[in-house]
Formats: sequence, C-alpha cells, structure tokens
Amino acid sequence: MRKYRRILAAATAVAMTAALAGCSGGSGSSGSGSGSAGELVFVDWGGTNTDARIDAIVKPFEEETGIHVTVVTPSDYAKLISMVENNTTEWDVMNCDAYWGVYAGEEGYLEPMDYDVITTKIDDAAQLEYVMGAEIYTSVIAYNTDKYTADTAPSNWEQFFDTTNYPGKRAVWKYPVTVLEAALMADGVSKDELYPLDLDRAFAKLDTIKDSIIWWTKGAEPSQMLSTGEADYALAWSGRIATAKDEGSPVAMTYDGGIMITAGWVVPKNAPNRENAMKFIEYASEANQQYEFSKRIPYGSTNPEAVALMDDDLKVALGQSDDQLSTEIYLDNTYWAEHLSEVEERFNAWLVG
Amino acid sequence: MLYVYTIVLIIVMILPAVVIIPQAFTSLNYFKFPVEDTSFKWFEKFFDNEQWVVGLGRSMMIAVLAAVLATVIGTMGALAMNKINFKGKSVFMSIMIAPMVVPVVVVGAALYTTFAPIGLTNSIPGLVFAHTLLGIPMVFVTMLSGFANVNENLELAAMSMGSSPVGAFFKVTLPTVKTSLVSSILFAFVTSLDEVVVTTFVSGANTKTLTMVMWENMRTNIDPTLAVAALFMIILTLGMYIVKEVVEARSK
Amino acid sequence: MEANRTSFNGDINAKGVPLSHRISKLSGLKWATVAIPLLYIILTLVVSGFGIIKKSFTGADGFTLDYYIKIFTEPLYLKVLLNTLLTGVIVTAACLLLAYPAAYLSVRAKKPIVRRLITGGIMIPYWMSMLVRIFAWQIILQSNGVLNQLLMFLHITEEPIQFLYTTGAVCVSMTHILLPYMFLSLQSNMEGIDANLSTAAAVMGARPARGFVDVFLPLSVPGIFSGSLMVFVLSLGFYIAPALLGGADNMMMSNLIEENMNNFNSNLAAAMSLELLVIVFVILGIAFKFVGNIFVPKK
Repeated sequence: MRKYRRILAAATAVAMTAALAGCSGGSGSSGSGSGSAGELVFVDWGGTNTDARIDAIVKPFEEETGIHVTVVTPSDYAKLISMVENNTTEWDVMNCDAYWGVYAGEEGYLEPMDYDVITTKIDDAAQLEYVMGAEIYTSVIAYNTDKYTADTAPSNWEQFFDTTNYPGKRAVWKYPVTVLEAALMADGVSKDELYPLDLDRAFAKLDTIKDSIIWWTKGAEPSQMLSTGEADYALAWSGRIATAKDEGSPVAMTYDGGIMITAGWVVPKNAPNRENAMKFIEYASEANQQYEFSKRIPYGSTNPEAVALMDDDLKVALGQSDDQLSTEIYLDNTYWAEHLSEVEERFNAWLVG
Repeated sequence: MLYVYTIVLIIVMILPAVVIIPQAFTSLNYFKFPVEDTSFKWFEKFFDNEQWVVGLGRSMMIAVLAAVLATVIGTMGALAMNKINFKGKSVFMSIMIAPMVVPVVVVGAALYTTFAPIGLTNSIPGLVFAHTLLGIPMVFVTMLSGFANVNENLELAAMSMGSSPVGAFFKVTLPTVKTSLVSSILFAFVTSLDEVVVTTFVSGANTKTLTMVMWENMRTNIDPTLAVAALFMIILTLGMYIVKEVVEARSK
Repeated sequence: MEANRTSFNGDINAKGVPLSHRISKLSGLKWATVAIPLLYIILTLVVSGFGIIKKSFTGADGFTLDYYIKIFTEPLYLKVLLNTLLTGVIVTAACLLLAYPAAYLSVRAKKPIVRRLITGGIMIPYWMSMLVRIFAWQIILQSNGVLNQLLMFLHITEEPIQFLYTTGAVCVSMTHILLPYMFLSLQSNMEGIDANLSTAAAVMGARPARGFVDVFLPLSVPGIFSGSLMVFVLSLGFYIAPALLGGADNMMMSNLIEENMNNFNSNLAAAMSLELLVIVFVILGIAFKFVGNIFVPKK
C-alpha cells in the first residue's frame, strides 16, 4: 500500500515537472512563425478531403512559393470564433461553408478577400466579399442499389417526398440547409422562385414525410445507412456517396434537382500570415489546382475553367455537365447568411415539436 | 439467482465489444454483422496514416498524466469534505463537480480563453491540464463515497493493537479506499481518452488526440479503421489493467 | 464516541491520536486540501466562467434578460430541457437498478476470482472508445442488426422492429456507457461495508431480507449517491449518443448549445449552460440536505 502512495507522488512530480518544462519551453504554434514571411496555417475538414487537398494544392503550393504550410484539421467554427474574440488568431485560412463564411464576415470575424492578389475569376455567386469559393458539394437523392435501380428509386424531389409510390425510410440531413429547398421543390416551387424560402410551405411539406425520416448528422452516415438497408433512400452529400460507391458500397445517386453547396476559403480576422493566406487562396482557385483536386475527390469546382478541363465522364460524375446543371440549383448564400440562426431554430422546434 | 442475472448483464455489457472487434477485420467499407469476408486492409490504413498511430500514443500519454493529476487533486478535495469542518460544503462540492456539469463546448471555449494568452494551447501540458479539470469531479465524487465508509475507530483499534498512527492510516484506511482510488484513476483515464470537444479547442496542429482523429473522420468517411483504433485502445488499456492486477497479486 | 473526542482536546500530537484525526486538525495541511482543488478549478474554469455568466446577461444594448426569457418561455428550449432531464433520470435509474445487484454480488462472493470476473466483465466495454461503443449499438439495433436477427431467429418476431433512431436506442446506449460508473461507485462503497454487520444482524434474528434493508442498504447510500450524481450529471452533457442514435425528438441541451456556439449565438449558449448548471446545483443542494450527513466524519 505504501507503494501506491509513493508511485502516486512520483507520478505527480513527473507530471508537474513535465508541465513546467512544457510551459517554459514554449507551446509551438504561436511561437515561431507568426508574422514571418514563410509560414501559413491552413485549416481544412480532415479525412480524405484534406488528403486530396494536400496532394493537389498544398504540396505544389509549398514547392512553388517556398512558404511552409502547417495543416490543421478539422475546421471548427466555434474555435475560430473563440480565437477572434480573444485576439489570439492562430489560423490563416480555413475552408468552410460559404454561407457560414458570409455570415461570419458580416459579424466581423473575417478579413475581407484581397481581390488584388486573388485575380482568378470563378462563378459570380461564389466570389464574395469575405469568402472565395472553392469546391461544391451537392445534396442529392441517393439510394440503396441492392433493393432499387435508377428506375425504381425516386429520381426527383417530388418523388422523394412521395411515400405512397415510393414507400420506405428516408435518411435526411438533420439541418435545414438544402432540406428546406428540397421540400419546396418537391412541392412544386420552381428554381427561380425558391428564395426567400417560404418556410411555412417547406415545413408543411416536410410534415408529410416526417414519420418516414431517419435523421443523420455526420456526412458519412447516409452511405452507411443505405448500405445496411436501414434507409431506402437518402438526401445525402454527393461527394460522400460517390466515394462510398467507388469503394464498393451498394449505393448510387442522381444529381437531378441537386442543391449545390459552395465551400470556400475564409481568413480569420487578425490572421498572423494574412498575405500568405491570400496568395494561397489565389493559388488554390486557379483552374489547374481546382481540376487536380476534383480529380482526386468527387467535389465539383466553382471555377468554370477548371470544369472545362474535365472530361465528360468526370463532369457527369460531379454533376457539372450542362444537362445536370439545368436541373440543379445553387444554394443562396446571402439568404442563409441572413437567416441561418432563425431558420435553424425553427427547424429544431419543428423537429422536437 | 443473483448469479444468473449478473451473467446476463455481463453478456449484454460485452456484446458491443464482441460486435465491433470483428469489424476491424471486415473487407467491407461499412459496418455489417456478422462479418463475412475478412481483410487486413483497415489495419494497413490505420498504420499508413500516421495521424492514427501518433494520435494513439499521444492520447495514452495524456490520459495517464491527466488521470494521475486528477486523482491527486480530486482526492484532496474529497479528504477536505470528509475530514474537515468548514462552512459552505455545499458550495465547495458544487465547484468541485462544476467541470462535469458545464457543457463541454462551453468548457472548451472557456479553457481556450484562459489558455491562449499564456500559450498553453497546442501543447501537451495544456491538454493534460484540461483533461485533469474534467477528471477531477469524478475522482472527487468517487473518493467521497469511499471515504464515507472509513471509520476512524478502526484506526484507533489498530493503534491499540500496537500500530503507529501513520501505519494505521496506511494499513486500515487506505485499503478501504483502495477500490475507490483505482476506480477514480480509471474514470479520469477513460474520460481523457474519450474527450473530443474540449480537446478540439485546446489542441492545435501538433497535438491531435486519437479521439479527435476518429471524430473528424466521421464527417468524411465512417469506415472500419475506427474499429481498428478501438481494438488497439482496448488492448493497451486492458494490458495496463492486467499488469496492475498482476503486480498487486504479487505484492500480497 | 464523544468521549474519545474530549480526551484529545489537549495535545493534538499526543501518542495514540489517529493520523486521520490529526490531518483534520492540522491548520496548514487542512487548508491545502481545500485550497488546492478549489484554486485549480477556479483558475482554469471559474475565471473565464464569469465571462460566460456575463455574456448570458449581455445583449446588443447591454444588460438584458432576453436570453433567459427565451429559454424559459419558448417551447423548443423547454422541451429540449425536459427531454434532457428526463433522459438523465431514466438512465440514472436504469444504471442503479442494473448495477446494484451485480455490485452486491461482486463484493459478497466467496471467491475473489468471481469478483474479478464480474468487475472485468462490466468494465471491458469501458475500455473501448465511446464513439466506437455507439457504433456498436448501431450495429446491434439496426433493422438487420444483431438484436433483430436474434428475435427473428427465435421466432419472437417475424418482421424487423425499428429500434434505431428512437428514444429507446438513446437510453439503452447511454445506460450501457454509464453503467460502469455506477457499478464502480457502488462497488467501491460496498467494499467498505463490513460483512460482519450483516452477520451480526442475522445472529440477532433478522431475516436476510430484513438484514439487507436495515443494515446493508443504508450503508450503501454514499455509493448510491455518488454513482447517481455522476451518472445523472454525465448524462446531461451527452450529445454524441442522441445525435447518432436518436430521432428527431431526442435533441438534448448539448446539441442545441453546440449549434448556437457555431452560429454566433454564444450569449444564448451561455444562458443555457448557466441554466443547466443552476439546475444541477439545486438538485445537489436538495440531495445534500437528505444525505449530506454521510460526508461528515464518523466518530
């Protein structure tokens, strides 16, 4: 028993010493490199996204400019907010949803994009004051291929919301973004009249299938739900389904009526390497880099020149062929930036209601 | 009768482990039970990505340090509650368990506010301090119930048989709370291992833990690499537990 | 008991004074055991905590009670709060009822190997990462999962039952995750309960059930208290299980708070956090009134 106390005491001593040593030795990130010309802290979502990004963009960027890039994952909105509020910004550039970026910019948490440095032109809708669009991921209809084929599964939102002809469980994102748009489109609202969203109508439509919905929160869940048959169909992210399908999961999807979400780059306020961040964004937006990225992971590109580089098969796989684009819509970032909070709250109220 | 019940309970408790371990060996890229075709590709994937491996080691180290520190501090608090008479014990207790009650995301933001100015973010010590904070309430509560059954008269009895006061403390009181002590260390250890939200705030580029890696991967790909990570976590922690049991058995 | 006390009134360092007793009288050490833990928590958490408290009362134009009014009047926040508390109560009760018999058996079993096996069996899942445990429950509760497969195999049901994405799934997984806490708390406390006391009761003529209720049960209250407290408080903070296994109506406070932190509504999040904190403190205060005396040193 005496041994216990001694071991405990010794361990505590070790821990304290280590702590003290750690403290005095400096903590790493904000020590070296802040403000010096050759550093960049780049934040991304992680997983295979970032693997592709490093391969297609980060490494070549390092080689070309000599700037040393530190990759941090995952992107975290609450943490960025904390950093800026405490005036201890450690991140230089972060990939986030464009609508959140617009919101964050309006709230004063971001540096405006420096369009003197960022000269690449991308889709108008994606080139914003505080956000530079990067990739596109689309909310699409996905289905289990063990039980359904392209003909027997719903092929548009109206059918997705039709439980009589298409019975079964639907996996849906537990978030209003794109879900409300899908509901409105299913109810017959045309693409041009979608915004501002008629919330009452959207929720009424959602009510009609609420009992058949199982909700997912993490992007990789729907393919799991479909593969095991827990769900028959899903409103899921195109990139995730495409990857799962490539890896052998029994899933497939259609881009018909797909709602395209733009993800983009933001620079937090008081980023230590702001100029390098702008350089990085410019480099990442160029057609070649965008194309290389989309080749490695099935995300669309906001740069029309990058799309032009793609062969037809790739375009179709990413939902960026002209045919597909005619049925798809872009998520309206301005609308969501303005209304995110209240719509989210109403959505939650509807969920638990 | 009691035995039957307990056996059934244990079966139910172990069931998830039985179900998930084989998934580390599946050839599919999603979770399906029972596992039909086997493959080692997820092990390859795990070792290929240094994030997993380094994260595992880092998680373990932080967990051990945090567990020890939390146990020491939490035990002090429990001793104080139990042995000393002071006013405002209710308040004291509330503060001691506060880290467990305040929602983790708020604790994370709060700790970030405290640590960032003094450079404790993106550092191992910072993570140890953060996890210690989260572990203290559990140690406190556990040791409290352990001490509650300590009877000072037993110490007196031991002394009347010839033992010295210090000896009586170690021979009588401490063994009674030994189980609580072990439980406390366990709780603090696992709390640290499993922790992801506060860690996200306090860690940085160089200090990712395994659970963080698992959590962020869930946005992009849920695949059996998770099961591989879990398998290693079980092996390591179980290993430590068995070593402890053996050492104890020997010292008796 | 009192007689012992007065005889040591004079010299604290007199021979024959137990160490525990001395510790409680030493001025320096005594305050250290109080001060160190307090300081640690206060410095790391409470200081920035004041900032959070302030935030919850601060709006665009300064001091405001709007956030609190909102969370106490709007149905969404009340429902989620109720759901969180209710889930906590259910899970705590389930853990207590399930763990108590097993803990009792583990300390009263004749052979030590039995104790090891029981403890090991209950604790093994604890070694697995919580995330992974939740996935395991997904696999078990799926439509074509282990449970449904078993039920259909035994011909208890013909069609798969929807277990997943329901309140049941959330409660079962949370109970599974939290049971080890309850078990260990109970066990550590029960270990200290002198087996001789039950024997004495039996010798005095009490039937085993009576002996249990009158002797063992009351002495296990500290364990029940600390175990329940831990499980309840931990369950309030759960967000992963309800997010991954729950349905639409299983939203918990933590999910809401996190969403608000990501959307520049940290004031609202602060108010909700404070609400949770106060509720727990109130419950703690009440519980303390009933069982607080167990934490006073026995003399």
